[in-house]
Amino acid sequence: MKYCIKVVVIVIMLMPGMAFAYIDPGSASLILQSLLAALATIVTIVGTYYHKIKSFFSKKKEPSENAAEKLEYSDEKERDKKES
Amino acid sequence: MSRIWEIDKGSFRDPSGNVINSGHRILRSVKKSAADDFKSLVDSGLLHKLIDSGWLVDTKVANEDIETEAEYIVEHQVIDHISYPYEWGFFFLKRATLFHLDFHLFLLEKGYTLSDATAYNIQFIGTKPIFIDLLSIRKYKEGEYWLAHRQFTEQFLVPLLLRSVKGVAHNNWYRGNLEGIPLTDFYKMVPMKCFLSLNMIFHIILQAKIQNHEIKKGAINSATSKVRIKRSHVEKPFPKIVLIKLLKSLRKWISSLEPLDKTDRTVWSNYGSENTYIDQIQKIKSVFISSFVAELEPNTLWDLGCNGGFYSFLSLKSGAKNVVGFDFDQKVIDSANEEASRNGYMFQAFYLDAANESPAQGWRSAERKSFSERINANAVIALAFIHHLAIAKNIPLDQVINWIVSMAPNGVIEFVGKEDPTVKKMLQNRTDLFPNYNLENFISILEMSSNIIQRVDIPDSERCLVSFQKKCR
Repeated sequence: MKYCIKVVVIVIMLMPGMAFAYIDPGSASLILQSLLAALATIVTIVGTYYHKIKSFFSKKKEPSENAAEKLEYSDEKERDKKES
Repeated sequence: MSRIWEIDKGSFRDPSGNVINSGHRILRSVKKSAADDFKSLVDSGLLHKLIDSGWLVDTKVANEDIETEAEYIVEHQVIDHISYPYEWGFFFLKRATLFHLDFHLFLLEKGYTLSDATAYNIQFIGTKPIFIDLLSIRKYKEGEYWLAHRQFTEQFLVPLLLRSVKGVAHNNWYRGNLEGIPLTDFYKMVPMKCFLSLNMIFHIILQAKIQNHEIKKGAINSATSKVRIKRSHVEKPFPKIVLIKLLKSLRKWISSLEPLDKTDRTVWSNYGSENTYIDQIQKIKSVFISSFVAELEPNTLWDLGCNGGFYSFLSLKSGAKNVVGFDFDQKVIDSANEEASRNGYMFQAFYLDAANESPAQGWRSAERKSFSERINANAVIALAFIHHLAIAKNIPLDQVINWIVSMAPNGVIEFVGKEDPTVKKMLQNRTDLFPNYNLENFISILEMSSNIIQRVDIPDSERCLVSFQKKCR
């Protein structure tokens, strides 16, 4: 994982002319932070999907808590539908 | 009626308030723009908590009416000795850096943040860092960026890395530049092995590279001759959790940094144990210093050429309340501070080249005070010190003595004669240009400005201890 991040960072470094307009020198750290924020978003999205895939495969083996949550959730939905 | 208060000359950047010197008191005005944050800090009880936990310098709301623009006036505890990052050794700088990160993390937990990251906002009480700038604390806005990242890099991180990666002390460069060590300058000397460190890549290499790139691009688009339109980099929120992770990873990295030359031996690192000192001399000196300090019980004693702090610690045990040590050697000030920290002594050691002390500098040469403006010692000791100025730096003996005497009303000076092995070594490869460097001359110069209280000639050596009291003029 660490190796992958290093490769990505080095590739970014070697990219000629990043698409940012004129900034004051201090903004370099802001660009980096926006990259971090984007990375965090990607990690969150990937994490969510990973969790979904994982729960899809593990559903058959251990239907306990997740299933209970889903049941509750679908009950609420049905109730909402009826009310409306 | 003459004004009894004035705005501190170093306090002009922050529009939300000023530091005000009023006699011996330190006040601070809180202006309208910072009033809400300050009020919520007080009302929530956080201000009290910050002070009680030792994060923030003691602060009380004062009922003074001295600045019409101010919504509040607060009074701060007076710090005994104000020091600047270019006078700190690696140990103090690292401690201040970790303190800054910890304080920032603590504030974030409480919904507050720091508006800047300047090392000048941290001072030391003994060896304990403390935050002094109340108005840097403000409410955290969800999704905001860490605007002080570059300032943190230049004022804390790069100076530490300079020593840790290259083995070069930060002090002289920091003092020259005042606001830390420029990132883009340091980037030019980063060794190849650092390109394999993620922390180095993110905080130093990438930041410097983007900065250089943006500077080169310029403000005007050469193709269209128009001013480049700034695209906001802060449109998307910077999640708080990422900021906390960033600060924590910086903390982890910095806590692992050590001086590259830590294991090397320097001129003075074993001075105390290996020099011409023998037990007998040390015993005589210890008795002399103990009785001198016990008699005076000074609030603040300065130890010039403090070495590993042996006589400083002895002075504390003998009745001095605070001791400030100075030395030219980076390693001895670090080891003295480490030992003081372990034992909880009210001691702090700073880097000082006595022949080139800190000047008044910054905006209009008044932003940072000079070494001599900050002298507040009640007593001074200079043991085996003067030959380093009078012989090694060619400074006339009378000037050296008068400089030491000017520091405090009372003091002790140890004279080391030409036949002493250390002085002999200093002179071995050079012409002896110092015909006036002798004990008789030393005593007669000292007697011009001071009354000699006690004199002890150390037997079988060329050393003499003299305690003095400055004559009233």
